[in-house]
Formats: sequence, structure tokens, C-alpha cells
Amino acid sequence: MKATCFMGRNSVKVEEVPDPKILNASDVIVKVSSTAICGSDLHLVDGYIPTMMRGDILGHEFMGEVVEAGSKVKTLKSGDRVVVPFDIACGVCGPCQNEAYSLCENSNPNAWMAASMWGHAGAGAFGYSHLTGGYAGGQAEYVRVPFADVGPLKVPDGMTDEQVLFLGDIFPTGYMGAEMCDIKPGDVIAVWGCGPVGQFAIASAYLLGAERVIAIDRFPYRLKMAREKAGAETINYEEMDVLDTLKEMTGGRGPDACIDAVGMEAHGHGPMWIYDRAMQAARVETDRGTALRESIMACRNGGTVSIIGVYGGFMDKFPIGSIMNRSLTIKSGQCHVQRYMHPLLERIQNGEIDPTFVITHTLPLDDAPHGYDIFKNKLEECEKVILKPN
Amino acid sequence: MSTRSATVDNAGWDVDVSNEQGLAAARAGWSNGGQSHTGSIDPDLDRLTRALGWFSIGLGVAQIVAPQRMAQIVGFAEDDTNVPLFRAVGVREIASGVGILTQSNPSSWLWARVGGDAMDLALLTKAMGTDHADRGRIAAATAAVVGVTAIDALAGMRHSRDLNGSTSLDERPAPSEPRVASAITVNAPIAEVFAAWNGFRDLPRFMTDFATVEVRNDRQSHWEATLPAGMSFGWDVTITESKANERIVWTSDEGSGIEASGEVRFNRAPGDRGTEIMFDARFNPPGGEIGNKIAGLFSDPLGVKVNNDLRHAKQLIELGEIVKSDDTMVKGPNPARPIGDMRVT
Ligand SMILES: NC(=O)c1ccc[n+]([C@@H]2O[C@H](COP(=O)([O-])OP(=O)(O)OC[C@H]3O[C@@H](n4cnc5c(N)ncnc54)[C@H](O)[C@@H]3O)[C@@H](O)[C@H]2O)c1
Ligand SMILES: [Zn+2]
Ligand SMILES: [Zn+2]
Repeated sequence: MKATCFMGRNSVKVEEVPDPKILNASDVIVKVSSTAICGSDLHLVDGYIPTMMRGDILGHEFMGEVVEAGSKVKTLKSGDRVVVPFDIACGVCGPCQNEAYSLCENSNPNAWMAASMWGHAGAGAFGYSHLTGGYAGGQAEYVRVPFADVGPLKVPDGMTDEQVLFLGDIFPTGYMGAEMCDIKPGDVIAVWGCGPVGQFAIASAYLLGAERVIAIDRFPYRLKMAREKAGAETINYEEMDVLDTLKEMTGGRGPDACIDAVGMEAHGHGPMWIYDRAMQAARVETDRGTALRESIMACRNGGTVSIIGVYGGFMDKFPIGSIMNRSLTIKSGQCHVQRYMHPLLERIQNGEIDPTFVITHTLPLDDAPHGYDIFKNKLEECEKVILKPN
Repeated sequence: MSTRSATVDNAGWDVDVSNEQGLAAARAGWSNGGQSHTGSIDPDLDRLTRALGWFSIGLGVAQIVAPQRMAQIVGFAEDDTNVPLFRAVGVREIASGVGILTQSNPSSWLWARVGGDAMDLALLTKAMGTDHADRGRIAAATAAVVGVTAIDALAGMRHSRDLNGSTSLDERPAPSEPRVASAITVNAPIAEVFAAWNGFRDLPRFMTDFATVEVRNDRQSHWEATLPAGMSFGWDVTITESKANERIVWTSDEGSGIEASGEVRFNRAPGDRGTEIMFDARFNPPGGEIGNKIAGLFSDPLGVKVNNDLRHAKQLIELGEIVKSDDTMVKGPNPARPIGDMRVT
């Protein structure tokens, strides 16, 4: 089959690789109909998440048709159309039973690796380095999906791929980012990053009752989407000082909650930015902190900072004093996707949201390298790329 | 995971600290640079010490300037995602090198070098243990580091002795018997978890990383553990006590190669969290103190292996099978993609 492979830093190729097989009795094999490129894939390809190997198959946002099922699979059979969550979860361990699926204790065979980096290990994930298990990803014609009775969501008849594809990652991720803000009537939420995850965080904050949402980025076309499609007020951080502007917009209080939808490759200005670039380029720190530091400093006293942008390891100059002295709450996590798939599917069916608004490019799988290029470098006003293997 | 592996796991933080200390030590060294070593130190030892100092700095510089090359040399996968690890090790290496060369009493810095070696060994053996990298090369690098470790340990001890004006080794805290320990929580009732261990019947199914287990009868088994660099040691085990839903205590048989003893404890986890398993073993390798020291270096990576096996046990009990990924299908370095018709190991 064809698959999108990591070939070293900044290098992605579509290669011919062996077809996947059932390895555990609860696996299914899915023939991929649609898959997407995520901001997390950029962190991997840019070489900031350790333990990538040349030849790894990328991709963790995908859906398609079940073509083979393992002997223990109860709820799925060949021909079923499913969306697959990016995190792999067993459904029976302690965290899974508490719906904290991205903390599954059984799905990461390389848990020792993650534990040596983070103290404890999280769940396995598709196409997401060897730290999270070394599972082949879904930017391919076929993919093996473990724990088929736990993760995959059956797609109701009549819904298009584009309507449901993002239930496997970015919609639940943005939604969880907003949910962690514990939104109360009157709350003003600020969102750093107007990538696809940021767009869903904005939309979800409104779904959860935010009074106003303020979005921050530097690309005019992304800010425009945040304004026109997701309904945010926007700040272009290249034109305005973010902290001053947020104070002015909120009567000096600051946003009640801040969502970091940027992550470890944040961009910025000034000496701190140069410092971060240098530290990260030398691989002395893994994470650039421009957006996260700013979201902490901006948050109102006693407010919440919700981190859904991905961080890999260590960050320098972390403003812990601002957190401690102002009673901030930090919440974070890889999304527990399985927890949100059904309720968010209902919201789509009810017409409360149409997730297709982020899609700007649909390409054949063969053009994945081009897709990575335009998504990473913000070319052709690219917001979200969908790849079609067949 | 054992507290000992925690020290290694936090290496990233340790490095920062030792770096600061290194610079501070360097400054201190330079400010009283005129002070000479006490006359009691023999010139050979001094030369050995200085050589180690420069070795540290050279290794450190190489790790920082050419981490990819270093990674290749020791057999890690070539991707530069492993670069941070090597830089971190490099910074630590230079700090201890500077410390050795500039301190008027280099002894404590020699011990830092021993610590540094331990960290390298832990990294190397972690890589070895999971077949992610080129075993041959890692084995060679391990042998080299083990060699350096032995010299470091020797120099460290002799220095302490000279400066104490005493030949007694008892004045330093004695290195403890190497311990391999790890714990895990299984989401199942204690009786079910105990049954999986009792009589060691299921052991061969999940004890695959740490040791291969051959069960002889309800009380006796033979264990064979593989060390990095292809070394292995085996021992015969007899269960001396088995208390239902509480503990299984074992000890190695007289004359079975290595002295070892240990127990597996079972606790009801608080709340509704299932059962805690604690694997706790001690090994007494031949070779006295240095033997202990070197074996001690392996107890962290062995702890990781034990933890992997505890995870296997958890998977068997909770799921009925051991979870596989593309990565785990073949021994040795292999990317996350289907293996096709390659032989499954
Ligand atoms: N927690 C999860 O489960 C989860 C799931 C999916 C994605 N993610 C993460 O979410 C993040 C965003 O993903 P995406 O797909 O939207 O990626 P993206 O790269 O398209 O979006 C990031 C956006 O942040 C903007 N940005 C950069 N620096 C900024 C700054 N200092 N201030 C404000 N904006 C800034 C960029 O211009 C860009 O538009 C990534 O880190 C990704 O890994 C997390
Ligand atoms: Zn993603
Ligand atoms: Zn689980």
C-alpha cells in the first residue's frame, strides 16, 4: 500500500510499504477514505518530538471502512464506516474507566520510553513517534486499529467524510480546551492560535456559553476565518501588543480563561523569542514558550489557563511566579477523544456546528508532501488539508 | 518504577544542576588556582585524574558539537530527535571534567564522573534492552564506558582514601546491594492478580524482558537475565514463603551462580483502584565492592525491564493478551510501519 512516511527532519515521502495485518484479537484493519494533516504532525516532521525514526508512517486523523476484524471484535464488522480517535485506549484500565483515554495504561508498548522522558507514560497514539508506542499512522491506504470496540465511532448514514472526520482529533481537542476553562456566564475566553485546533476551541467556547472569545494569531487569513466562521474578535500580535490589548478589551481584568492552541513551535518577537529559537535549535530546550508564557501573563487573577497545544519536554523561563501569586489554574492534556465523539456527533447532527468550515485543501494522498509544505508554511491560505488515498 | 530509576529518568534536570555546579566549581578553582594538591597524592594518581578530566571534557565537547555523530558511533538511531539527549549528557560530561581539573580536591568530582558513567550506562542499556538500536555498537560503547567506570571508581576511591589519610573504605557510605524493584497497579481484584503469579505458572508468559523463566514445579524455577553487552546470568529460585493474596518470597539456591533473593508483594490499592504489585529483588554479584558498583549500574535498566514485564502482566490480566505495535513486532531498530512478511520474533 501507499503511506506517508517520515524520512528525517523536514522530509516526508509517500512510499510503498507492506499492508497492515491484525496483530491483536481486538484489532480491525481500516481502509482509509479520508485523512488529515494536523499541527501535531508538524512538530514530528520538524524534529521536535524525540524518537521519530526514518520510515515511520505518519497520520493520526483518519476514517474509512472496516475491511477485516480480529476474533475478539464485537461491535464492528467488515463494511462498517468509522472515524478513529487518534489516541489508542484499551477501555478497561483505571484511566479508561474514568474516561481519561489519552492516559490509557495498556496501549503504549513503549511506556518505558515515555516514562523516562515524562516521569510516567501516556497512552499510545497513531503515527506519533515511538514514545507513544510506535504505531503506524493513518495517512495511508490502510491502517491497523487496535481496541476496535473502544475507539472507533460508526458514522451514521448520510453524513459525509468531511462532516465527521474531525471527530477523531481537532474538534474534540478544541472542545476539551474550552471545557477545561469551566466557562461561566459572562466569561471572556482568549485563544492563542487560529489553526484548525484554535478554530474549534473558539467555536466550542461559544457552544459552552462564553460571552466573548478573543483570538490571537498573525496570519490575516486565519484571523479572518476566526472572525467570520468561528465568531471571534481578533488580535494580530504583529500589529498590537497582546497583553495591553487584552487588558483594554476586558476592562483591565484580563480574560477569564486562556487557551493555548499553539504549542511547542510558537512564533514571537523580541529577545525572548530569539532566546527560545536558539535554545530549541541547539536542542537544549524542546519547547518554545512564547504563546504559553503570554497566555499565563494575560489571564485574569484566579483564572484558568488551558493548554491543548502540544509540548514535548522542557521549557525555559516558565513564569511560575505569575501562576502562583495570582492563583491561576493550569489544565492540560492530550485530548480524551473517545469521551467527546458521541456528544459532538450529536451537535453536528443538530446543526449546532458544521466542522467543514476549516477545510481549505483536499488533495490526493500522493500529494501529501505538498500538503505538509502549504500547511506548515501557511501558503495558499492553507488552514486544513484533507488527503484522499483512493 | 523504582526510586533508583527515577534518578536516571530525571537526568534532564540533574544536568542543569551539575552544569551550574560545574561552573561554580570552575570559578572556585580558578580563584584559588594557586593552591596545590596535598603532597600525599602520588603523581601517577594525579596523572590518571587529569586524564579522566580531559577525557570528560573531550567526550562532552563531542557530544555537544557532534551529537548526531556520537549517537551514530554508539549505535542509536541516526535521527536527530535523539540529539537533546546527547547534548544533555555532553553538558554534564564537561561540567564534571572541569570540576576534576580545577578542584583542589577532585575526589568528589571523580564520584560525579562515576555518576555520569552510570547515567550513560543507563541510557545505553535502556537502548539495548529494547532493541531500538544497533546492539553490536551499543555493546561496544557499553564496554568502553564500563572500562572507564572501573577506572573512575578506582580513582575515586583512592582519592578519598588519600585525603582522609585513612585506608578504610568504611568511611564512605557503603554502596548498597544492587536492588531491582518496580511496582504497578492492576485494575483487578487481588485474588485474580495473585493467581497469575502463584506457583509462577504464568510467569514465562509475561516475564520476557527482564528474564526468561523456566518453571520446574510449584516451588522451583530457573531464571536467566540478560545484561547489556550480551552478558547473562542465571539462578535457580525456590519459593520460601507464599501467603495467599499477600506475598511470594523467593531465594536463589545455594551454588546457583548468583546470590539473589526477593519477593513479590500484593496490596489492595486504595479506593477502587484494584491491586498493587511490588516486585523487589536484590542481587549480590561476585567481585566485591567494584562488582557491586558495576552491578549497581545495571539495576536501573534492569528495573526498566522488570517494569516492562509488570506491564505485560497487567495487560494479560486486564486484557487477556499482550498489546503489540508495529514497533514491537521485530527486534532491533524498525520504524512504525507494517513489517509485511518479515519473520516475527
Ligand atoms: N491536545 C491535543 O490532544 C491536541 C490535538 C491536536 C492538536 N494539538 C496541538 O494543537 C496545536 C495547534 O494545532 P493546529 O493543527 O491548529 O496547528 P497550526 O500550526 O495550524 O496552528 C498553530 C497556529 O498558532 C499560531 N501561532 C504561532 N505562534 C503564536 C503566538 N505566539 N501567538 C498566537 N498564535 C501563534 C500560528 O500562526 C498558527 O496559526 C499544535 O501544537 C498541535 O500539536 C493538540
Ligand atoms: Zn492531531
Ligand atoms: Zn486503558
